[in-house]
Amino acid sequence: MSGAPALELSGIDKNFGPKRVIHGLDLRVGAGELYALLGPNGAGKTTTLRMVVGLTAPNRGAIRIFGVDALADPAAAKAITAWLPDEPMLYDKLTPLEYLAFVAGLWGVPADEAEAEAERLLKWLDLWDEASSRCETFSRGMKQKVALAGALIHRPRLLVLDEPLTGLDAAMARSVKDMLQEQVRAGATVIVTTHILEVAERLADRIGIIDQGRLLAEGTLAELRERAGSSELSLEELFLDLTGTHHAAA
Amino acid sequence: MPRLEPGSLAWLTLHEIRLAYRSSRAGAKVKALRLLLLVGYTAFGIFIASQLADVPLHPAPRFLVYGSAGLAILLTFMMAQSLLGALRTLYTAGDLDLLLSSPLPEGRVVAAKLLGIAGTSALSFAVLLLPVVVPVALWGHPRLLAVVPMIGAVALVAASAGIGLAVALVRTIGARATKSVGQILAAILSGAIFLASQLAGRGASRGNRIAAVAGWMRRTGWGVDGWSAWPARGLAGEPLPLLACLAVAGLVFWGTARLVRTRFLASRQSAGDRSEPRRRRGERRSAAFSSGLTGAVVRKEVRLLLREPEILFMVLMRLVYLVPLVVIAWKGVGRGAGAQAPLLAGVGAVAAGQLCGSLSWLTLSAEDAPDLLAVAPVSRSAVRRRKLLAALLVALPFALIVPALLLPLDPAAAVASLIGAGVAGWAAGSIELRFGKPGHRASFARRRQGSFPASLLGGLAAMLIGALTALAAWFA
Repeated sequence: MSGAPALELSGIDKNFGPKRVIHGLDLRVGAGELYALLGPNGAGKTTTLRMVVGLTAPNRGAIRIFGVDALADPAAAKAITAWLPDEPMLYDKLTPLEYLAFVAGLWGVPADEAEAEAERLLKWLDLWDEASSRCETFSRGMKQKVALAGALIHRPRLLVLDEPLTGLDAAMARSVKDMLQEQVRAGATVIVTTHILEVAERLADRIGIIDQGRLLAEGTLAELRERAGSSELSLEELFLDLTGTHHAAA
Repeated sequence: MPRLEPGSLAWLTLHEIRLAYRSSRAGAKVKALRLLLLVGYTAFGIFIASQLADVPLHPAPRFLVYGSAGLAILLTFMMAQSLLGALRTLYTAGDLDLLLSSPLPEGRVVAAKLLGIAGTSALSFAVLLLPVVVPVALWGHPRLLAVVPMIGAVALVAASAGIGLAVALVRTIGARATKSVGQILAAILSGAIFLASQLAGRGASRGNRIAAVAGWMRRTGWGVDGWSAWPARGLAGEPLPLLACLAVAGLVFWGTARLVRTRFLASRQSAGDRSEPRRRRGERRSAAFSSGLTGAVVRKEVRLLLREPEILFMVLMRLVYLVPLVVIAWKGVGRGAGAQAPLLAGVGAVAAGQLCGSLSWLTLSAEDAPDLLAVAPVSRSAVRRRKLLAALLVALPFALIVPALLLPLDPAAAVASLIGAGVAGWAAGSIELRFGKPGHRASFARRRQGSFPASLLGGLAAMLIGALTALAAWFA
């Protein structure tokens, strides 16, 4: 559906038992944007993303991905979405190539196309020499790379990443950041959560700040500064002011 | 924890035992049920004690036979448990790195780990034995209190053997192979006595088998005369044999601990290095990409099953209890006895059901990346049906063994066996599909605790289909 936002959340509520963790969340991410969702620990970032990718159902509200109602037609929404959690979803006993063959099969990617894409991705991620080694022998960073290749093999239109830089060395973190920008240049939409505010400051087109299940502020960095009434503030200062955690950091 | 000097060997050992017991994920209800069972078991022990109060339990040949046999069984079980404990210490990211990074001497840390393995094993069997033995001892047979230190002695010897075996395996076949081979060896050790008695008794009834083993012990004098009877004499509370056993066990453990200390740490390091041999340049990389969901899911599941030989072996070990029936039936088939072919056909169906039940639990319920499947644009049921197909495909070669054996002897029974095996496999898989409970592959050995309805229904269905298969083969 052309012209539709990449992601639209309307009036999302989510409870875990008696505790409400998301309160009437409205969020809109345009196609081709790199959107950073920030918030302190326990703010509801991961829960929000898990609802977007269909791992958790909201108690109330609507989720649309490129105009597809993700709650009514989850398969259609999932077909164009990729999810990369902070803990890689891998099989230790499979090799990266076998893992990618499996993921491609799940997303229905034609075999020849998947094989070529797997080779391209593994070479790009500098994993080609290890393509036939089992994942159990890999470091955390290498496993994260394999999971990343799995997320990209079906060329998703919406890429959802939860703390993708956790546990990565500087070179690998740089590769992931480059990859995110490359995906956006290629027309994909990227939503990412991160605790590294500098990453959001440098890469994100728009930033959303969430706390206690509520979206506190949203916009470009300039818009957020304008709202705060100071063009000098760093994202870190804005974040700490908005979330009321300044005193804790001081 | 009792007040012990922090950092001392006893303090570290108690820490190990506490960690081992807290690794159980049982909830409050299960713990309460266990406590209730223990109280009931102790009451049973008190009843036994009242019955044996006036029965003399001297180290007569009869006591020595059963004492020696019991100690041998205890030793193999404890060795298996110790081997698994050593493998866990070597391969899982526990607290060894933390302990070794502390200023405590390395030797003390390793000794505490080894004592922890022995202590955990001793306590497990103490819970099984002491609720009966202690009341009997206190009710007129005080010498039987020697069972308490003897359990400790056997645990020390078993731990020494188990740990030594683990280290020797790492040094000879490498860390990677040890992980699988060690688990297989532990499974063999656990079933060794049972299997040996089955084969020695050649399918005789339980009572006859025990009599056959006891007769062999009396004939050879093993465990009844001379030095080999000392452990059983120690068990009966004879002071000198008891002290000798304790001294030997302590010495064996001390020697092993000193001998393997540095090797254990080296093994731990090589266990951390799980690199595969590098492939030659230009070697073909292939993953058999498939356009369809069926190909992708079936290939993945079959690969995972075949790449964990220790789990596959445990699956097959669960069929060991059917061995005597197969032996009886097979011998009967050879002689042309009428009921034996149907019996073999029925056993084949039961085995196929059990096998498919275990394999389908592994493919359906023990999924390593459930979130990956949940975010994929395919229905859960479509994936699960294909996972079941993979389990049935892996089971197929094993399920064909009995029909293939019967084919030249009784083709009609072979056909009945084939159909029975197919139905039993399908039923077991369907039960898992409907009632299976998610779990981790590593918990396969504890699966029976995972989903009670699935286990119960699976067992009943396998027996029912086995009986029907036997009837069909009889009338065919």
